[in-house]
Amino acid sequence: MPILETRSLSKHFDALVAVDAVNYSVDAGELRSIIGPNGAGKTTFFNMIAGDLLPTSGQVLFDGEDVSEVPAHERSHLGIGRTYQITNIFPKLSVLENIRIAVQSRKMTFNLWSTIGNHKELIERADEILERINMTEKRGELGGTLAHGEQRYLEIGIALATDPKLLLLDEPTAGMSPEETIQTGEFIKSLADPLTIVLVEHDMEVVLGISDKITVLHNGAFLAEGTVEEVRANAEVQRVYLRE
Amino acid sequence: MDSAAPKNRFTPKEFWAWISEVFDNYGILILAGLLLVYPFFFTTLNDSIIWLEDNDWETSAEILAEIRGFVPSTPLMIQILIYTLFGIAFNILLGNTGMLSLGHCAFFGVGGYTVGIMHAWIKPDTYAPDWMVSAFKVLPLEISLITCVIVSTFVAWLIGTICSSKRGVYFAMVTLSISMIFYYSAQTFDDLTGGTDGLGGLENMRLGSINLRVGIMDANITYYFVFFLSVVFIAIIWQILRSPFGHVLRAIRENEDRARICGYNVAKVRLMAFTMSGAISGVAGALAIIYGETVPIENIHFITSGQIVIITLFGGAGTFLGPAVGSFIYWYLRQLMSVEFVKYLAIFQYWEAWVGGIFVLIVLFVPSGILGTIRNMTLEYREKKYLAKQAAAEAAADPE
Repeated sequence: MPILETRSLSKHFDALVAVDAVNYSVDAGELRSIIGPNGAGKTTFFNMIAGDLLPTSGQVLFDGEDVSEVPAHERSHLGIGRTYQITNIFPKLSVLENIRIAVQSRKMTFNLWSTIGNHKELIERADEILERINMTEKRGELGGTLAHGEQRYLEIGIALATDPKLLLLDEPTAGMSPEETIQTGEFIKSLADPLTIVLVEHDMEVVLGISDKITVLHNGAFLAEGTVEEVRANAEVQRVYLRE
Repeated sequence: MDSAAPKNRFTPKEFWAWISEVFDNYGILILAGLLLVYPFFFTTLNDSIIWLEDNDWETSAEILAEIRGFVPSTPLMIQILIYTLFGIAFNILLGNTGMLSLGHCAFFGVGGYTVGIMHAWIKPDTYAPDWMVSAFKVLPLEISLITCVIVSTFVAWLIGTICSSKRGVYFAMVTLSISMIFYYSAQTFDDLTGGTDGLGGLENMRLGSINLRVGIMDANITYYFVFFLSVVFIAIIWQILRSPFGHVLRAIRENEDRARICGYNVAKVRLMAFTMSGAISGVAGALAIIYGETVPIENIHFITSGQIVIITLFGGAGTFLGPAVGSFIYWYLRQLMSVEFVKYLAIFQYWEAWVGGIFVLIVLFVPSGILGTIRNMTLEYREKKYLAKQAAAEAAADPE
């Protein structure tokens, strides 16, 4: 059974059709990529899956349940985690605190009569995540003072700390050097299975090596879907994307 | 040589950093201790002036009386305590959740009017039903204060559901306009609230359980009553802000979208914070009417909201005790200017203009407020000291 499915999902901004009747399905444990030129509707598509935007029509199914109208914070509890194209962290909280607040969201919100000191398990879990994103040494620094690449990792860490089943990464390598990009690609691959990952990329090279399947989005509609070779060989894709 | 500078030279900046380090660790205790003995201090000052006069030490008495003019009186300290509580409650929103409410006068006023109306009208031959009058021959203050907490919580929750989903300037404008509805209601229903004359006739405010009269008759007793309740509620706020919930508030202040995607129900958390802030502001409003034994309509007017914003920003919205510092400075300056300075220079009668000018300067030059700036200096100083220590350790480990 697919973990994520969209059925003729559309989003219109007045006359502009950003996403046009998209049918998409992802199986658990897959690492999938969506590529497309700027303005193809990739981020809008993501926003509808994560709940930042509500669709104009169509459905989003997660784990077999219709979540089209479910608010974003509840989708997070169902198991959808995401990162943003423009780094979205808590800049004035420490790295540890950034992760810890995400861990805390799984356990308590309206806990008024204890202190963080009473909940050592939160910090232990946060430290595990920090180790996983390789930032243990930076745990005391403020999120906003980190280098750009580190902030991208921190954001992935925040998403991981909410124990997602499905992780949506919106251009995880945006603004990174070629070297960092390769590293990040490997890191993302190491996260996949049991985690299901869908990533959106502008740059095709990033996703080539790591994805199980690539989907090409153009003008809000799917143009092609398949393995790297299939997509590369597709004449239509070459016309709109590779030679743009 | 530069490195030969004397080691124990204490720059003013370091001195302040040291002071604030002490304040950081023991500040609340020191402050509470000082406030606890304050009425004794002021009474002793008064008594010694009288004693000196009685014993024909007139010059000394005059000098001491002159000095007394610059010492905040016990009634002024009552006012300062109340606005400290009000400011700290307000700061749950401004400093911690990042919501600027311009309508907190509504809660302050509703709290005051709840207690005021109960004490003014639960009497024979008034609006109150007979059973209520006969149940409370004299209405105990405990009952009216508990009612006040319930009423202001409900009002805060009601206003919160309307406006806590708004952001930034829209939130400020909606809270402002709702508070104006409360103001005009208080003005319109003057049979009940006394209208623009204020609500008087609440002469019997008594703690039923220990049969203690509080109010204008005895500043010291009123002071301790206000002190005790303020400490209790400030302690409650302190606990809330250090709890896991308090951390969620600051996460929302830092990045609301991120907090939502982390799975926090931002709307609900904001509503909770708004309700708590409003409820405790209502308690502060109730305390504010006790010493004066009247409810002035200004308490529910926008001016009160403006005051609390100024007080909070004076002290520093990012710090817990900032509103305490702000409240002291605001009321003390006001008193000094309108009573003492005005003797020498008539222009000080326009104290609002001076306080406003100081406010502008603070916002321009120390935007994190007085306590906030001191704290930042401390942090800077500590970091420098830490780095110096590390450098020294490195140098010791690696001599060449």
